[in-house]
Amino acid sequence: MIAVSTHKIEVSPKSEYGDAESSSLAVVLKSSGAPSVTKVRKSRLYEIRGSFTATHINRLSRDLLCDPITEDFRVLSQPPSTQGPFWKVEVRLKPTVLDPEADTIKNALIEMGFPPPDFIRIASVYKIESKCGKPQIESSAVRSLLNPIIHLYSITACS
Amino acid sequence: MTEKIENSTFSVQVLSDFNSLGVKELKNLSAQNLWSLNEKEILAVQMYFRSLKRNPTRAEIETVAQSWSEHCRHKTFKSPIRYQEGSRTVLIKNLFEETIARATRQTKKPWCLSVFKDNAGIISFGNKGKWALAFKVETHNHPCAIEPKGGAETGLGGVIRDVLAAGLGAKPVLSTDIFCVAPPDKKLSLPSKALSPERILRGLIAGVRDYGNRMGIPTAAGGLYFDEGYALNPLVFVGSVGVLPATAVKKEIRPGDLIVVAGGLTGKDGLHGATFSSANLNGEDHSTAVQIGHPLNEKRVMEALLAARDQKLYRSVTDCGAGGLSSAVTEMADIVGARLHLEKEILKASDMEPWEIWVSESQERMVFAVPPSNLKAFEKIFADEGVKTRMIGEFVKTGRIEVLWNGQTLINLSLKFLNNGIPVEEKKAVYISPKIAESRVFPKKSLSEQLRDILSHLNVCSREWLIRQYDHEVQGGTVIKPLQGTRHDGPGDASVIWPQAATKDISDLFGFAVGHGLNPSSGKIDPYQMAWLCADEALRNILCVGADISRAAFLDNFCWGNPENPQVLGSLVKAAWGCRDASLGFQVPFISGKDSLYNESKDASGKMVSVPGTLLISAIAPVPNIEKAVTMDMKGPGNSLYIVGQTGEEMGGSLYNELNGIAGGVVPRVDVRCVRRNFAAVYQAMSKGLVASAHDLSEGGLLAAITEMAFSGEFGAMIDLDAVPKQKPIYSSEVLLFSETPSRILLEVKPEHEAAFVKCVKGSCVKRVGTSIANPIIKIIGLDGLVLFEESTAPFKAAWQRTVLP
Amino acid sequence: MKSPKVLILSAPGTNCAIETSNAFAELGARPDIVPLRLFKEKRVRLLDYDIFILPGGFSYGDEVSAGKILAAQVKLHITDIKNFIRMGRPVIGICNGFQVLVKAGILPFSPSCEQSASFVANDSGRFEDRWVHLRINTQNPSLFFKGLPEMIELPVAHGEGKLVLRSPKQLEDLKRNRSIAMQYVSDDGKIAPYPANPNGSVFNIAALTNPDGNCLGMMPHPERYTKIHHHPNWTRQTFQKQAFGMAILKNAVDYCRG
Repeated sequence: MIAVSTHKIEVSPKSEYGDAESSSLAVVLKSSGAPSVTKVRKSRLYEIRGSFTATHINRLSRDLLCDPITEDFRVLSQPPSTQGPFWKVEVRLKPTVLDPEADTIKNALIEMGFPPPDFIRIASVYKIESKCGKPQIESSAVRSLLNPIIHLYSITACS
Repeated sequence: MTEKIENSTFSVQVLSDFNSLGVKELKNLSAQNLWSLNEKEILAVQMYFRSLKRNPTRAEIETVAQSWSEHCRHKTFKSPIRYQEGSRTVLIKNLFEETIARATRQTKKPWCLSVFKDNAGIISFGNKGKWALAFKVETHNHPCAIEPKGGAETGLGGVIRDVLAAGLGAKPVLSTDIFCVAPPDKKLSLPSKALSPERILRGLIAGVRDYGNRMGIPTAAGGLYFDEGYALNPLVFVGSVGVLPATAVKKEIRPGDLIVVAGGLTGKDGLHGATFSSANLNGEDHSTAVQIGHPLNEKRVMEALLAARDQKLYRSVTDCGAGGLSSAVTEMADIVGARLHLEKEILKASDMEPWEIWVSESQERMVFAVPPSNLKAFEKIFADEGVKTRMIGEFVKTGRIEVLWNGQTLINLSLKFLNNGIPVEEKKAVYISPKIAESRVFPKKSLSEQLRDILSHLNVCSREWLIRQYDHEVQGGTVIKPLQGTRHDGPGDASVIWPQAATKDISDLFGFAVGHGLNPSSGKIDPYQMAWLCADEALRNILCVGADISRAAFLDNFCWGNPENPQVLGSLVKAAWGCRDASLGFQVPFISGKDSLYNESKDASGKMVSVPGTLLISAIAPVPNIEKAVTMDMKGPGNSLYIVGQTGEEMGGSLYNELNGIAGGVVPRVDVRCVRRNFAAVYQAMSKGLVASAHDLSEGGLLAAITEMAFSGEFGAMIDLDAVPKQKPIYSSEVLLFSETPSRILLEVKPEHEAAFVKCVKGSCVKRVGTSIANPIIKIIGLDGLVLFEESTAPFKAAWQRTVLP
Repeated sequence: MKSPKVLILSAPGTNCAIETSNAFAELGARPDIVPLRLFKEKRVRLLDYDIFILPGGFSYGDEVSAGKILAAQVKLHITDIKNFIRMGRPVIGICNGFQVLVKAGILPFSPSCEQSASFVANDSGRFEDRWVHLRINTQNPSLFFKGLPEMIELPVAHGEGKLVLRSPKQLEDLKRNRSIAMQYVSDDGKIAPYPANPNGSVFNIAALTNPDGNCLGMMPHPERYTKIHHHPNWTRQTFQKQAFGMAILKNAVDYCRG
């Protein structure tokens, strides 16, 4: 019997393939009240709870969550490596709001023969390089990256 | 698929002192619980339970609140109204019956298969009436103001389900979307919690794009309208057209049929959406009223539903929309009756009260009436698509809604009370004609500047950036595309859909076109004329692509402010009368409609602001042979240019007036007898293949229209203003160039077709006004016979292709 | 063989199966729309069919990334696809189907079936639906382009259509083994940037085949040009009056007829 635990997997785009979304995000953030934003990197953070072995987690990250050519993944048991300084904004849907992506991945995992997960939550992680202070980052994020009506978010300084 | 199923452990909640509460306490209770029941209504509920000598359960009151909500009941359109205009007072018993419904009855069109009753209007379609078309447009304004993307997604998802639940289910073949928003480039002072117009617009587009594209339904008939009046309350109209076999139009409920829910699981999301939709937006936390869409789930439901329909496995279906199971089951039970075991519903969260399960508006669910002998086969089809079904009860001949919760009675209400118990309240309406002094400003701008300002105006400029984000060609049926012309970027009047993915018969060349009419600026001056203008524009758009408008049908959507305000209601009544008269005048029936009221909220200074009274009329009509369809781009040099209809000195509400700061003026009128004759002649000519291109004259008038035709086809045109037919003598060339007199169309006719064309349009007002030329310039000969305007089209096309959102 | 059997795969979220099926029916083939589920339940055998189509759409909602989840399922449940291709039978992955073929390691072809390319978001940052000009690589050994002119037009409609390769060397390999089937070009046939290249694909690649030319992955939609009335300019009479999409599908059918 494998113990139930929560696994965190972060998937980030490799820089060499260009990331249209991240560059347009920088523009949007700049126009939403954080003028000094120089760079934004967006990654996805999957939190999966269930009876999974390390092999399961590696396999599902490789086969399902991460593109081997354009992306890297990291299972977040290790302390996160930092290439700071940057602001890290983590955005996830409130638990009362249906998450279609999580729902679809959950069903796909079951279809592919993995143990049924108890839950999957997905967060978008934005690493924002900027000289702006936290209030500015927060207000521009609320104006452009998220909606407090449906999202929970956290903002942390990483060095 | 296995999944953990949650069980609610809550029990039935009885409001033990309800019958003894006083008026004030009842009103407080209603407000606290978001029931939106007014004083008279909650007293009627108390009287009902007093007569039963028992207190209600919370679930029972929730059921009544849902059923009597503005959203489900259209109280404003169905209650008596005392209307006053000057010294004239009119008592209206039922606005809907006396206007829209009456016009539809009087037009007596045998090809209307279902009007106003079902989830969508249904008309006959195809050769020998083998098929039917279901069409529905509705609004989703309140959720979109708070969470634009989620709101647009669930709005589109909801209207698609309406079409899936029209008759025994239609396959959606076209989605439409119209957004009314504030200009994104203006700095407006907004309340702290309000989203910026730019963010709202981006969110709405993303919602329709992500949901519609994933559903595999082309979004190809839309519109975008900017006015500062929509800053706090954006309006979002989403529509869906579906094709169903003519044999699948009729639905029925028989006692003994099982009540089966299929689709997503039920959760706390979307509590009180129906009652919320009639509440003002006042900055409270609405997190449960806002949802995001799950198109993949809806697609699975759609595929299973259409397969089950073709095997005739169920007798009736409805969409679980506003009011959730409560509304859906009550609506289906109608006069029969239903008994349910609510604990059989499958939940995604265990912390739900039974009443919450009953009224939850979780998305992507439908309710079916399944004969017991078909249940196994029905469940198999849905399971194969990965859709969960649950049999939660049966229809019984009791005339009651009875809901049990683990053996306890949760709800036991008579349908008679639910359907007819709502107290009617007379509403007051006042109409005061706005006194807008017509200002006499003589614009200093050159014609060239005027034209550039018109074409680059937000309400005129290119929508290519938006249209391309929608998959408007999926299903392989978009034979006339929204963007037309040599470089596929000209402003088409409408799309033509050839629904091969629904009929699966590519030898059947029957298609249809959908168009819309929206004209809030004229409504600010005259709401009655606005209705005529909307009807005229919607018809003209589809006529321009070759639709048979003698077989057209209308849909109405009214978005107004608070109807408790007599002046708001007054303008609504005027617009409804306009709808009635336009429907009778054009002999085009309304088949479905919707109203969204209470579109008002407090601005930054705390003042309540409501949207401009906004009417959307959508038109649908068959194109009996798609190979005869017409586009708006100029086809070649040396062709004759004809104008349909007379031009009048009617500048009120025109873009020219707006851009030149001119207030007031005469709002154009539709001369319907003339127009019907003209339109019929144009359709005749088109169906004989005599028309090379057609474009309607709308915002910006003649000069804008001819410029668009020319640059889309990469040719030029020469127009003689003296030849333009006029209602009365007009001495101003600017009026002739920029008047927005309705019912006018420009046609291009090739020399080899000219004789036949002239014969075809004899007796109607269709006059030759110029020629197309090879050189891409627009040349206008003024009333004095001299060249008034001669410019290359290229800079005007560039102005028209401006950026709206960076 | 008279009437080839065509298997059109359907999975949750695939969209374009019906119009693709209508086109094959018109060509006299026998199309079946087969749910992925039947492969899992081993109730269908790919090798009983002559042509295999992975149609367009948003399989599994394109969650995670376009075609990703379906690709994982294809690897798991449609293992016969390698044999099918080896036997020379035609396979076409259209739009999302192309993304699936790439992410399942079927295209670009490698003996190990290891994924060596991928798709990322269009350079424009948004979904785009429009008609593009394409140049067919006359060196490509493909069976799908017989009788077609070198320059054709077809519509694309996608948000994640930018093809990227593992390494620059891989592009040279693709050129060398003539696997590039179609490139996005301007209306005068030149390799050009956006908007001619709608997504920013490397070397303007719009379609790839295996070196044998019987497995085709293409971003444009052939099933959306099966009748000249699909062309945006059919009312103008100023275009090549041949439904190129139908012609591509017909070549697959004709090939099976022998």
